[in-house]
Amino acid sequence: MTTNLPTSWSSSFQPNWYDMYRILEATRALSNVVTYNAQGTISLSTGTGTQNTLAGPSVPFVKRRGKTDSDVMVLLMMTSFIGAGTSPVVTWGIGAGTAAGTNKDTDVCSWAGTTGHHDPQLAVQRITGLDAGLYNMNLYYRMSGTASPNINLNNGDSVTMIFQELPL
Amino acid sequence: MTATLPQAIPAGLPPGAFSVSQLIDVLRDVSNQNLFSAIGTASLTASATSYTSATGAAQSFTKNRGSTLTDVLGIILVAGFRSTSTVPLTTIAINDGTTDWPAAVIAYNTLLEHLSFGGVARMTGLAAGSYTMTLRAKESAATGSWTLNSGDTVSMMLMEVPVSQI
Repeated sequence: MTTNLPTSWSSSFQPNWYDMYRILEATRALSNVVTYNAQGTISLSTGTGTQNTLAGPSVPFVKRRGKTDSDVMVLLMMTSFIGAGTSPVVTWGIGAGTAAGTNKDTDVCSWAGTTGHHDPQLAVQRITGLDAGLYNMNLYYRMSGTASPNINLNNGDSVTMIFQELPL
Repeated sequence: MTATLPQAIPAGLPPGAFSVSQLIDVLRDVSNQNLFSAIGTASLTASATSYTSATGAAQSFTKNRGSTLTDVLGIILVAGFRSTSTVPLTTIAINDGTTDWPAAVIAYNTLLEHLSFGGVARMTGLAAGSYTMTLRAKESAATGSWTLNSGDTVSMMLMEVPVSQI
């Protein structure tokens, strides 16, 4: 991973406004942190095997720099439980949607749950290729498995997401 | 060049080339972050008291500056399950090619239940250069096993951080 900051300079180095601009841009990116947290307020009980957006966990994120200058890191910490199904695996991911209707999906983690047990799912992922601008970061899920797989969240579950812009 | 930023700013002192280069150094350090994610594609079975390396859970990391200036901070999150004996403890670590840096230990109380856990390891004394960072795991006793497979996710975040000034 590289950065657009200079990597070396001579003893005669004299900073100019462009150097200061790059410092400010890198600082703005690293300072760009958005969080989402819900304790016990997200409800889900579904047996669908197709991909769907989870109602509730959504947060706006303004990406400061373009796709050649930065990515977005997401840290996902949540719990859920399997309601039914044979060897179901749930995959959680982030859909980055714009007001113009474009959307980019990025899988964050997958987990083979135990029926009836509220267990944590923890993962970090890099979301690449996003232009600068406003995105709504939505949490999506999909299921694999047989015999009507079912994933659930209720008042015993939490969802935490942290988004940070990472300079390239 | 030091990673130490000024603790106090003397009144009237204009910023000079050295001040700006210090800022750039620190920003380059904290910008040097790698993320690795294996969603159902890594595998590991730990059944010994010595570390076993995961397959498909390694990433390269280039440390820009020397051991007196920066460390590498590793955050690792994994899921896995026990198939036999819940008695031993499972320890996960990040291996830098030479040294294992423990990040977390867990005592599973159930069998065949995929549980997530994770921790942080600060890797000190590493010279500038390229490293391959690999997830490893071991057991406290060779009487059972801990496994991660296609039902699990491995995440590893690595970042270069200035050495502690404390």
